[in-house]
Amino acid sequence: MNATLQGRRSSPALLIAEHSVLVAYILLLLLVGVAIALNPAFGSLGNLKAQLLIASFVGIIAIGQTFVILTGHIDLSVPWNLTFSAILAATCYANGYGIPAAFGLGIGFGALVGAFNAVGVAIFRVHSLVWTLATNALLQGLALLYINGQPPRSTIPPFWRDMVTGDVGGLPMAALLWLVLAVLTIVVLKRTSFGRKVYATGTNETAAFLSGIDTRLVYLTVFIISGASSAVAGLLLTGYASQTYLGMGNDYLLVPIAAVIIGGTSVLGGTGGYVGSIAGTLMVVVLQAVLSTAQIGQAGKNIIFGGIILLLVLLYGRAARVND
Amino acid sequence: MILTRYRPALLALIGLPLIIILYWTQQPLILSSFGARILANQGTTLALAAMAQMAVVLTRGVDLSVGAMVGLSNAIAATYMGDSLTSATLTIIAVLLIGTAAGALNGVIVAVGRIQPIIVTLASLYIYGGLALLVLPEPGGSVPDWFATGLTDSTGPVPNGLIFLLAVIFLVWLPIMSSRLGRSIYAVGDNEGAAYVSGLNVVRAKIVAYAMSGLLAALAGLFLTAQTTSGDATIGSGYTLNSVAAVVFGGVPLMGGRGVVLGPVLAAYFLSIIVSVLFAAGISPFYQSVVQGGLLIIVLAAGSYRALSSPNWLQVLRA
Amino acid sequence: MDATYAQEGHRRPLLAAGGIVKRFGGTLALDRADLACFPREIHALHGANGAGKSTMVKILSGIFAPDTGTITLRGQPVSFANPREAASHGIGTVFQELSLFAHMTVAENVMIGREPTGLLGRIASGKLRRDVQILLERLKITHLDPDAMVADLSLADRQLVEIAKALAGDPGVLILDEGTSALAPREVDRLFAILRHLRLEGRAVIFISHRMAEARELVDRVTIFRNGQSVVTAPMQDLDDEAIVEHMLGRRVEQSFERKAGVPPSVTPLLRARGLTVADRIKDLDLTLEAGEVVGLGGREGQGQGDLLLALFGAYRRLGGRIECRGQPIRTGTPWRGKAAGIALIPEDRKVQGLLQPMGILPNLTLATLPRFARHGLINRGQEDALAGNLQDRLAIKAASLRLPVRSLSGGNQQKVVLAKWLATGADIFLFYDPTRGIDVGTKQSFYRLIEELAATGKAVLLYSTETAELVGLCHRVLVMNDGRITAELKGDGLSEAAIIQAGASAGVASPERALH
Repeated sequence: MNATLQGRRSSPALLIAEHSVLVAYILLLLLVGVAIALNPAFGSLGNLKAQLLIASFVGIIAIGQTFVILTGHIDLSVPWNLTFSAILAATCYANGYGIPAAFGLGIGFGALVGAFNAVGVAIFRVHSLVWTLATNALLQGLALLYINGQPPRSTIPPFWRDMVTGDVGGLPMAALLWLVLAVLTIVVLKRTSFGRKVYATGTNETAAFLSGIDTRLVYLTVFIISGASSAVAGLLLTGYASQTYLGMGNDYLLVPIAAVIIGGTSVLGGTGGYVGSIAGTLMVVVLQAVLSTAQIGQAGKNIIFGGIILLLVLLYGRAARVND
Repeated sequence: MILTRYRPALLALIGLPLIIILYWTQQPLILSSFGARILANQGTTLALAAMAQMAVVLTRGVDLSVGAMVGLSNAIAATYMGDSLTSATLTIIAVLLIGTAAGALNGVIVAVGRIQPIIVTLASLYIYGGLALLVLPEPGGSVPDWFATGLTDSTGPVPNGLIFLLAVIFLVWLPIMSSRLGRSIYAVGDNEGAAYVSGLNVVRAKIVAYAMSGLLAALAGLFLTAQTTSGDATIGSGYTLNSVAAVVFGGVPLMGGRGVVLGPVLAAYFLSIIVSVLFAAGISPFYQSVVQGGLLIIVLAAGSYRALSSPNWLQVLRA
Repeated sequence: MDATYAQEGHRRPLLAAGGIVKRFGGTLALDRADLACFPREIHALHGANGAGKSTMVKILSGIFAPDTGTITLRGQPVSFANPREAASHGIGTVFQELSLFAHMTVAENVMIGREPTGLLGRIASGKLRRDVQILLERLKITHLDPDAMVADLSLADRQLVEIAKALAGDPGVLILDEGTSALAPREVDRLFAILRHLRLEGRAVIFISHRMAEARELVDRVTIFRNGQSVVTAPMQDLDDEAIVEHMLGRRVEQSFERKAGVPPSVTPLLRARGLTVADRIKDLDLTLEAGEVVGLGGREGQGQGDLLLALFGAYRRLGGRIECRGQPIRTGTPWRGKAAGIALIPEDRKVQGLLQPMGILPNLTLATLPRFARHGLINRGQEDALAGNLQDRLAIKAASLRLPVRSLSGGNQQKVVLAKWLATGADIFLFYDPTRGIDVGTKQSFYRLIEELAATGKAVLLYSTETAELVGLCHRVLVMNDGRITAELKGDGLSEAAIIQAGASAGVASPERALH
């Protein structure tokens, strides 16, 4: 048999799967068009900035989820990791330690939670889904204990808020931070040996391991990135809302995962990337805005997001047949 | 030989009496008929949810939507049961049908669509949770008295909740699991490729397992409704994690293909009672999540003994 | 048993496949292949690795649907949508990769999907157990406990369970696809007796085995596959072994191997293992590999050969004994330690263990050498391209572009990518796990040349192969393994296919565990 490279079969589903990033951006444009048609005010500069600000919270969490999902795992500890990190930082600041210490503590804690997640996944070999779900419950309990059930003290100084919403060169600060982190993420994934290892591990952990890659370190790093990005999002949200509160992370579990999947990253690991996640992030944010305009409540939003995820994984998250 | 199958349930088998004894030292009353009723009512919902979870875990899947299906059932039951026997009966039938259909839908997407159970049920968790909120936006609703007392009272010294649970086990679970269909559910979890080439209907086995999950979650939701006598669309959210915890604690490996129903059922009672014990001991209720999350972490870590002890890396890694 | 099979006319095939074409991605696995077996016939199917035998078996068993072609059963055209339908038509298959359930008992495995049921469909477990007991007794597999968990059985016993499972369906056609590789000679004899009995009952058996010589007296007719085509079907007595091999390879077999002169032992061999012990797989094993030497591992399948390669490389995290490279003890237990010591593993399953199938050829080639062209973690694409291009030329990997996914390559070229990845690391100890399995004949030859080249340039090769001819042709020495130990070392004039098979078989009978049964 010769090494003929067979002509690719092309079916619509396959075509969409292969160009999922392009599809995501086209859909994004369409969606923005719909949003403006429904509500011309959506296209105003002020509103676009406001949407971009919200998108940067989702987008930063999506950085962590992209890394984790590329290795074939998932991080469900985002909501309470985000909340607890923010509460810790706010408390630290309230106790007079200054912003650098407060942020350092918050992000450090988030990273630590990530490391804890990685221990379960890489050492104990528990599926990340169950392990991070348990971590989330544990963090919820610890957070409640930490604040003793009282609403967390909220002495968020105005400049913390300014650091998030302040305008630099026409862009909100948080969006600038997202931009910087996004570029960094894309470079790391596409141009570095670590990025290559992430893809290799997600594609086939056994083959990567037998090529001499310590896949445990890959897991450790991606979960730390995810934990830290949750914490960063928590700090930004704290500034945005000028307070910390229980349940502040509740809306940030499914939405970033939806963003990553919409952006064409396969939940099976190994394919996709952050360029797609950016489109996915913008899409879910615009979609949320459209749904709000259409007077659809949280329940309807949940149903629609769940449905979209199902639809997209049916398009490009399918596993091989048993007999293939 | 057959007894070795019960060995993984040993932890729950020993743990449950111990925790009851511990509880008894704090609250001597619990060993009365009244106490037994309290214990049964506390644990039966989770026991049913754990069985729902187990049905799917046996196929090497996981069902994150269990909690949402419990909540949806609760919301529908409390909203539509009304006072008349007819409306209540029709509502109960509808709840069971909707639960089974919701589970079966998960199963169809997983089995026919060949999508990871995790992502399917994560998405359907939001869909079913959203539907529950649409049905009952604010906590409320009501149930007929006979329904509430019928499920939560006692018949002689025996709590009705326990009778209900045993009826479900003996009339639903065991008949299915000891049939060829049930064997094929275990087989699919053990080795899906082998199940296929052995001529088993893999797709049907999975759909049935998920449909069972939905039915059992609906039963859990009904019992919960009887217990709380009202509806709350979000009340089920805790049952997803706790059902996984009960399954793992009950000796059913997440790798599927193994396990007996006794384990998760006992583990469910254990996990429910431990919260009461903490409460009775005057420990802050905020510890509840810590204890439940922490216990699950510990059991998961301990359950990975095999992964840690296997000398061959290749048996540990994911292809 | 059913006598209807015996009454059927002799000239009508019981099961026939005609003009079967099956394509997988870039490879044509079957190219208008035919296979027909008659009632009262044991039909051998021969062919080199990758000739399409297993694909044909899977089509006949309903696992794959053919792209084109027809299957007839007793003259009636049939098509099997899935294995269930094939089984219901009376086709039973013993699969090469076993189809057992580790956490079920022997009895449950044997009767899976056809359990006797009682009231309301409840499985009658007592009857199930008794039925299996009777079946096992009839098959004279008396040492197997029906209640034993399959997870606890040896590979040979699992193969016996698999055979019993295929027979439990009372098949009119039994297909055995290499399901006997780990069986001891006595068990093989017993199996052959069973097959003869099936023939007597008027059934048909399609039999695939590397044990060509052993099966000769058993087989009535033989079909030979080459490159996905059926090249000849003839009565067994019309073809001698040489003719069969000739048809398999499509040319006269010239001894393309040169007899190797031995490599004299040195004070500091490239690799020395002493007292190597791994769980219950490798038992106190000593081994040396000299520079320039090709050492073979032989024996029946599943005797620890693969575990030895994995252990030396570092895929076992805990092992007893010590391993020295060039006289220096090395740290073991992870692949990167093995890699640092200059050890390379070309693993058993290139799909799952060797390659990142959906990823490009380029990242696969450079996966083991990333630090070489990554400065501060940033990959220098120019250097990477250069290295990959270099490797492609050196091994003559046929690919239109290195950006294409590796799964678009043929099996042989995929295996070259695995080898190239390790050549790039500068390793000098190469461990091969059955490297030519499923590779076409032409690429096989170039692989042999590569292995010889490795040795000629002062590297050491340890080669496990299920093809004894390969071991004889390529190796300076062959170590025959039995139950985790080296039980024979063959070299010089003592090295022949017969000697390897003999050494693998005889020690099998003598092994204490078998004597117990």
